[in-house]
Amino acid sequence: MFSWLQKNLPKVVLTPSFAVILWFIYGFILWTIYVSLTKSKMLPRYDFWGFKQYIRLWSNMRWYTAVENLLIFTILFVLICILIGILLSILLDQKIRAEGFLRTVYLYPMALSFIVTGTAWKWVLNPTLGIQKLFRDWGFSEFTFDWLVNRDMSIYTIVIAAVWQSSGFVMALFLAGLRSIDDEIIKAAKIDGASLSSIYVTIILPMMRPVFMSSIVILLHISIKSYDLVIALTAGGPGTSSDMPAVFMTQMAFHRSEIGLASSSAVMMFLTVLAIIVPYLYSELRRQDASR
Amino acid sequence: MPAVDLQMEALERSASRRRTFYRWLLFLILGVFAIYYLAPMYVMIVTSFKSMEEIRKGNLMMLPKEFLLDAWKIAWGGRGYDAGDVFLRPFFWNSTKMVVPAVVISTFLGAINGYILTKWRFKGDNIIFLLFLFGCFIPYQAILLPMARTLGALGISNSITGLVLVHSVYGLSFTTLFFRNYYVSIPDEMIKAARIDGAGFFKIFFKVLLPISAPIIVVTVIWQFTNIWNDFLFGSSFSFGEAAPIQVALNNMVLTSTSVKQYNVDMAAAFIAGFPTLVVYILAGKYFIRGLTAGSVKG
Amino acid sequence: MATLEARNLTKNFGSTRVLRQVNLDVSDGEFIVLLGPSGCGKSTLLNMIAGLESVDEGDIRIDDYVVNKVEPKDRNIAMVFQSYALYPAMTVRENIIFGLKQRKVSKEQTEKSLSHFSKMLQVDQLLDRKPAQLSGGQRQRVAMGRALVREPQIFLFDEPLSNLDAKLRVEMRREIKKLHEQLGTTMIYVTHDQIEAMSLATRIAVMNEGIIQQIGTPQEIYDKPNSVFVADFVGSPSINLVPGKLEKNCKGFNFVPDQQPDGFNIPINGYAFENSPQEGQPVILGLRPEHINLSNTFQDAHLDLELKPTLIELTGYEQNVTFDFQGHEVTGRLPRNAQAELGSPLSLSLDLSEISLFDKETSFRI
Repeated sequence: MFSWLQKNLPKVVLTPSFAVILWFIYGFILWTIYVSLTKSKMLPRYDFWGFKQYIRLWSNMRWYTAVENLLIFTILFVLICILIGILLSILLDQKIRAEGFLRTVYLYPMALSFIVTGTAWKWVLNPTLGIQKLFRDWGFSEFTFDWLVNRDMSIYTIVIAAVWQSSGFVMALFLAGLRSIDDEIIKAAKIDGASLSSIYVTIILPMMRPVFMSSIVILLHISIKSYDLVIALTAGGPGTSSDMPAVFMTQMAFHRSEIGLASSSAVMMFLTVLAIIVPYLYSELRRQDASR
Repeated sequence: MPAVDLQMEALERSASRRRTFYRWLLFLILGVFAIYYLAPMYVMIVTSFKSMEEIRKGNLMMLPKEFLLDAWKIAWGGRGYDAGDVFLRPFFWNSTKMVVPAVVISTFLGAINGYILTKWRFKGDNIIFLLFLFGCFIPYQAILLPMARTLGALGISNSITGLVLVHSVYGLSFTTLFFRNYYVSIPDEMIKAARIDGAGFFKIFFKVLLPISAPIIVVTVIWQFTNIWNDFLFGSSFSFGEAAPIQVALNNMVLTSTSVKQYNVDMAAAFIAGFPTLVVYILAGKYFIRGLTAGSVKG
Repeated sequence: MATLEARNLTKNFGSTRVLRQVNLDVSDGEFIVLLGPSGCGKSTLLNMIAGLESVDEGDIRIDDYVVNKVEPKDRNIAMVFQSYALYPAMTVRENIIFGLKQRKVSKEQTEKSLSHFSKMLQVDQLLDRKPAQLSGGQRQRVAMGRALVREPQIFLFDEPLSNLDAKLRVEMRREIKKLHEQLGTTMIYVTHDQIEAMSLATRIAVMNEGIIQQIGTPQEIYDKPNSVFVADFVGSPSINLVPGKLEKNCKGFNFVPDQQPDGFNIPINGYAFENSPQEGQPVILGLRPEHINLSNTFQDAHLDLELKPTLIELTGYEQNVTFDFQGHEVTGRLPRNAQAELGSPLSLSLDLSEISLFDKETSFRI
């Protein structure tokens, strides 16, 4: 008995953690999937109802708005973050003296929660006293900025705040990538006569493929899960104009007593993440194996 | 060879002229971005020191005429009457009571998991690691409802204990990933040597590995601290009223300001809620960045 | 046609002085090897010649023109790096012609150079591969090809062979030598490997601590090292160094090793002093292992003595035998049929015409 324990001690120690993961992640996901196939309203019911919740979900206008917003948000958020991240990382890579300080400045929003970010930007973007007043005081008397209360524009305020919060992170990823490039390659290109811009475009950025990949995956992941920022900045409003799937899900689950519908929207989010993460992890693990 | 001389001189001149121009452009762009990132923080701080009257008259960028602490006092300690008065002090301590045990538990378990998964390999360990890893990526909406029911069944819904459990469980994926990646780079020979010297499973962990794990412990603790302190989804789903963590309280405060919006109080409160993570970031930025790039996921 | 001249070059990294007042003259067609241990400043010097490091003080001239502020691409040089520095996202072909493209060389000319040099380096079958699909030796060849197609005035090599395994290294070394003989272009080559330096160079500059210790043909460097450092750095097995002092005798001087009980001394009457020696001057005597051999090997001035072997290493062609010489280890290079046995004294002879003497304090040759 004792020798069995000795031999299997590592597995024994790992078991509780693993059981927790199995139950709290995989068990729960299965539960959610099952409930999404039932008629559950306020309380879960376990009689099978087929895909009717999904039909309800996809005929719900509010869900459509949420999905559309998610698309707009994701495209802009990913694109702008990557552009800013590449730009800043390349500029910071030019051996400048204030690099440490600037890096700290560009990245500090990442340390703040989305709620703090949202609260701060809500004030900055305030339609009467915020940025609009600032520009009017500076002499642009016609300047209006009411995106926060404008049904068509409110989603873009979320993009602004999210980019502010996360773009420094992409900068950090790219900077780490740039720093890992063999210095001699850049020297060789200089001797070959390439200008700095063409060194970056033709040699360095193509080498950054893995960084592009992981940045995009991470940003997609952040955007699909985005919830806090929406709540703090617009609370999904005005009306439901800046709703997102994550907001929709919690609304249905905790305020509308639509557990089945909420579960089906959660499953949709889960599947989306799955579609992004699985190929990524697969290629990532294969790359690691190859380099080993 | 005067012709060659002239040509070389021209090359020299144009090279140095180009260099200065680009240098200026570089600093201009970097400076503009620095202002973009700093501006909201600046606005937040100056607003928190103004009176409401001054806020209405002036604009975002103006410095306060005098630095008033009123908004800070209200944000932290309230106005002194009870009905509907939300202020941060009790919630700040809620968050502290939640963060400390959750960070300690998840970091410790992550360390021992990482140790087992790298140094005591067994059949199927890769699949188990993959199952852990996947937990970093799931959208929490997919576990929100069953978690609420489980907390209820355990009798710890709407409590700090409940939130400690939630954060420990869902932090486990990240902490295991961090430690596993760190221990992979430590040579197996070290473990073999310790075994030949007669050390057992726990002795190797506590005497050999933990003493050289300081960097990854710092990274993990910072990562977990930041994520748990900043969490809103779990806090708002599983707690309300007095048991809420600070982010939830901040959001409630901003939403429920009675009749008139108190922007100065909001900003002071936002600053207080962001302050601990900001301090950690400024003091240990290096480790913070390493966590971001190692974890590569924002939970 | 390209000459290179470095005048009083100085370089600091922060407070560390990497190069101190370095002077170097390279005439057209020479193969100069900068040899020294890591951190001696040899790579920094090469990078400064390439224009990849700025010059703090002093001048670099290419063909009599000061190029201190000229961009690397305008210096008409090519460089081969230790890590090969191939562009990973490009094919071999793209790698090789990248420099020509930047210079807007015509398509025909590019194709011609590409096919000429890729055949010469035997990489013409690999043109469509990516660097990751090549072996170390092939990458090395591609890196050389990239430098060659440019047909520069000066080639710079920064430890190009140190990432290759031993066999390939010898092979590539020979090819570089052939290349130099074929092209006759000026080449400057950095290495820490003294065998590479000896076999490739027309002249070697031995560097240490940011200073060129000695510059001369491989033979000069080997036979007449001007300091203890150079003597010790070049040659394998290392030169034997024995501390002692000078003592006048009727004809000239004797060398008396330290801790010598019984009046033993080595007559060095034939030694060509560069400075005037003094009675009692503390010195270090240097003698290469091949100048210690079985008795009756040397015709010229020699000294016979008996020593006990303490270590015998067979190298195949010969054997390196270490002896105990008054508490010092000295190594001799003996033929493989020499009957050396641990502990049993062997009759040996020292070739006194080949000794070097260094001042103990300055460690320079006297």
